[in-house]
This record gives sequence, C-alpha cells and structure tokens, in this order.
Amino acid sequence: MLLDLENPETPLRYDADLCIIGSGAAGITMARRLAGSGLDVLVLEAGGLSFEPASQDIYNGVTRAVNYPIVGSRLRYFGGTTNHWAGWCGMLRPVDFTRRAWIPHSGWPITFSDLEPYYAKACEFLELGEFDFERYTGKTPAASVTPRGVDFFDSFNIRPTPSPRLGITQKALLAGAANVRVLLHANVLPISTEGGLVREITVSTMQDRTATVRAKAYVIACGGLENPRLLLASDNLANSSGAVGRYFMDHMFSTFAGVIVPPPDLEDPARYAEHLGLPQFVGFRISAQAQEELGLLACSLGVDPTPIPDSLKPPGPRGTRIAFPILLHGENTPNPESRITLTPEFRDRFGVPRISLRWLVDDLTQHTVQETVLRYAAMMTRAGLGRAYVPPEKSELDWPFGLYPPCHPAGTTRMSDDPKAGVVNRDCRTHDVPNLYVVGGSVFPTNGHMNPTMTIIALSFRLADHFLSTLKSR
Amino acid sequence: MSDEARLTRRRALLAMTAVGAGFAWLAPRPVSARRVQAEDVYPWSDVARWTVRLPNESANVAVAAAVGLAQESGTLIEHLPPAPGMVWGAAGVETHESPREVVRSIRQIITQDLSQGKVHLTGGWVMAQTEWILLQLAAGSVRSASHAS
Repeated sequence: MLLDLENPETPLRYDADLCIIGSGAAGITMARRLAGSGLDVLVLEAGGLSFEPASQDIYNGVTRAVNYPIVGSRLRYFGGTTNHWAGWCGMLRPVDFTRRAWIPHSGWPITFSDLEPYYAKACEFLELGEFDFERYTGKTPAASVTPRGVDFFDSFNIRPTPSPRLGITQKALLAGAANVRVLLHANVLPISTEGGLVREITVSTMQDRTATVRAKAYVIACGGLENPRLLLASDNLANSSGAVGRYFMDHMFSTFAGVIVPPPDLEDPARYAEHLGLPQFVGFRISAQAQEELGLLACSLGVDPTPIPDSLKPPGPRGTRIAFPILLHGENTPNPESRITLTPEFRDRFGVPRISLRWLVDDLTQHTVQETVLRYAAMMTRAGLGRAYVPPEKSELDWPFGLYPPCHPAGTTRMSDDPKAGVVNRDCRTHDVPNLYVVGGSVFPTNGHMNPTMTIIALSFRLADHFLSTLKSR
Repeated sequence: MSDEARLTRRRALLAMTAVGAGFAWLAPRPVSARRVQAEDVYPWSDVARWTVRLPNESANVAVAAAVGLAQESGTLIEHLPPAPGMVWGAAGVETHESPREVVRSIRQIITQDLSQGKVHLTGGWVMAQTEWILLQLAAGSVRSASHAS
C-alpha cells in the first residue's frame, strides 16, 4: 500500500514489526523480499514519487578536501538513487572480504561464501541472467607478470541490469502487498532511544505534518552519506566506537585514465572488439595474488571500443584519428580521517545539521591506479592492441589520470565483529542499539573495485532473511 | 563442437593473430640483414629509430621529443640487459651482428619489459623501459652531435 503523509487523511500513527527508513536499492529490496511474509513492514520515504527540488535540497552540504557531488550524486524520492544509476552489476570477490595485511583497517567479518547465496538472489532480482559471473576469469590478451611470476591481471564480468529503476519496477508489487506500507513524504527526524532501544520515531512532511512510528526493529537504509548523518544528528546514536561517519570511501573512476591508440588495421571499433578476444562486459582487474605480492588495492580497467563521435573523443596525441578510452575503477583505502561530520552552522529546513564531507585519498590509492594503468598499457602494447597515451590534463588531485568519484559512498557505518572498531555487526545490527540496523554501502569495511549496488542488494536480502527468522520467532 | 566452444576457439585464434599483428605494427623499419665483417658501432640514435615506434609519429620525432629529458647515459646503459654478441657502449651498440639482429635482440628485451610491467610514462606515452632508455640515449647522442658541430 502506498500512503502519502502530505495527504491530510493519512493516519498520524503507525505500528509495524519492521520500519525501513529509505526506499532506495536497499530499502526496496528488503520490502520486496518481505512482501507476502507474515511481517508487518513500513517503508519510510522522505520524498514523493518523483523529483522535488525542496526535498532534494536536504542533501546539500559542504565538501572539504576533494570535491564531491553530494547533491547531484543521489536522488531523494521513491526508488532513491536507482532513479538515475547506470545499472552496472558485479560481485565483490573472495579476497575483498579478507583482511589484507598491507591495507590498514581491511577485512569484513563475513566472507564471500556468506554472501554468495544472496548474490544469487540479487542476480535474479536484477534480471542479470545466469548466476555465472566467475565464468570469465583468467583470460588476458598477453602476459603481464609480477617479479614472482604470477599474472598481474585476471578478468571479471560486470553486467548492466535491464531494470535499473527499482522505484518503477517494484512500485506496483509493493503497492499491492498486503503486509507492506510505503509512507511517502516522511522525513525522519533525529532518533532517540529509551531503555537502550529505539521505541518510536517521528516523521514529518515539509509542511510540518508529523506522525509517529513504532516498530520492533528499525533499519536505516538511506545511503552512504545519509546513514551516518542521521546517526550523528541523533545525538551520536550507535556511535560508541566513534566510527560513525569515518572511513569514508568511494571509487577512483576515470574514462580518461589513458587513451588506447590502436594499430591502423584495428581502428574500426567492431574489429578492435573482435581482436580484444573477450566477451562483452568483461574487463581486467589486478589478480588477488598480484595484489598481495605488490601490496596494492583492487583496481580494474578495460578499453571501451564503443564508437564515439569525434567531438566526444578524449584528447589524444598528435595525429590520432581513433582512440578508445581506458575505463578505470579503483578501490579506495579505508581511512578513519576520511570522514563525514555535521555542520551545526548549516542546517536543513528541519533544523538538522547538514553534512560536511572530507574525503581523503592516500598514496596507496594513487600508486595502485598508476601501476594498473601502466601495466594495462604494457599488456595492450605487448598484445598488439595499441599504444597507450595519457592525456596531459590532470585531475583535481593533481594526478595525471583525470580521476573523479563515481559516487559510490561507502564505509561510514562499517561492519565489524569488534564493537570498538565498527558500527554494525555481521548482521548489520548496531552494536549499541539492539533493535537498530543499518544497511547499504555504508557498512562496507572495504569496497573492492566493483560497483557496489549488487552487493548492497545482496546484503539487503540477507538482512531481510535475518528478520524473517528473528522477528517472526518473537 | 558446441557453439560456445567454437566461439572460444575463434576468440583465442583472433587473440593470437592480434599478437602477431601487434609486432608487425610496432616493428622497426626495414634494416639490413647483412652481417658486418668487423665490429661496428651503431649509434644510439639509429638504434632508437629502428626499434622504437610510436603511433603516427616517426622515431625521429620521438627522439627529438626526448631531448631535454634528464641525461644519465652511464647509468641508463647499465639498465639494459645483456645480449649475446653485443656491447652497450656510450656511443651505441658495439657488435659485428647485422642491424636486423640488433633490432631483433632489442625487440625481445622490449617485449620482456612489457610483460613484466617495466614501463615509463614519458611525454604522455606509456613505453617500455628499454624504449625509454633508447630514446634517452639517442637524445644524448643527438645533443652531443649538435654540441660537436
């Protein structure tokens, strides 16, 4: 059922088994999984069914250090940021979950195996075809070996979902589910606890029509920037570790990390793609063994041989007629000083402090990017697939690779078995408040090289199953 | 054979062909196969021009572009791995092998560099360490020649 708090006839008091705050990829996935179950589920969405500037303005804030599009990178209405994401899906790999001694603060409390069944559900949910992502590993066009003789690269599969707009694809199903209510225009105000638990929360419209919600459990699913904001604004809720807002990460992304100048006989994109010898949607990444040997983060890249008009071609060297950009996607080191704080002097229309983001990118991240681009260029030259040219323009970071964030905020309510080191446990439950959960990219302790949404959806399926076993048994 | 297996095989063949085509593309200009009678010195500028090819630019242009980069010829030569029958000298390659053999040996070293990720980013181009060294040495010799005149 869809309800709108702006409608004067909508009730002002709600009781539910589970209250999910946010209707983006995580919130919608959970609601979808729980539709038809015995649980009474209430989903709170701050926006309406379409874009509203006044609602979007709540996302405004301040960025320090590296610039970050904190408003334009996300959307504040039903479906959340899935209303404009590109839909690329892939899995983290087993090494991404492990503690990597050369990466401070790395290691998830869960393993790839814990999440694999839920990746399968995400694959089906996102209509990605067969669950066989690992089928394409191990094929590179030429050798690229480390000093110890292991392959620097292996290959991986990433796919676009044909149904990325979850707000559109799931709306009818959720509206028709007898046990799910979606309450629109319900902005959650700072949360308080009573006796160590969240007993009740207050929501409000932009016109100050307020309502109360009581539930057995609450899930914050508002994204990697808003999840910590809500906790920090709620008098440091669930923050005994001090980790809320810290360890902010994104990916290092570039379509201009380099330009492949193809041999004259391979200037036709279709012919080039054929010679590349890999199926569509397969790219290269640093192998797990090379990462360990060389002490690198995860990083992936590939050539996009899609024909592009001359006007959109990245700047190439003198005389270049056709150039294929190198697409790069790299992991970011988790760093407690890379963080979100609040700005008491800059508040939204509810009086809640806006975020201040200080995103720090360290030397290891830069070193990994450079090593990967140069290795890739060498591999392509060795294979006869082109020379790489790095355009002279520099990024804001003063790097020669034109990097910018792809807007995958993560890490700000990190998962850890140790209550002193993380905000949520392996079940996404906050260590401090037993009936308060957080889900989304913010619980990632590290973010690998892969786009995060499929992992967010897998975690959301897993959390929904957790509620099916725990809430029902009460 | 299934369609999938056939496709995989075709891709592998194409990839192998691409490797061959790559060498053809990056191959040096035709040079003499004649073995010289006495030990000869091939100047670095010639060797670089024969072996280093950047797309749409002649080796001459590339050598010229390298002029002005830091010159450490003595130590640069030490980075070149040994090749049978050839001595990496200050003025050039000292050998009684033919130019074609010199090119073949150096191309082999360049291929190893690319496989092992020994590469440099110079003037926007990503090039094998040996290519980079050759350009540096060539630039040094060009500069020396110009100073001599």
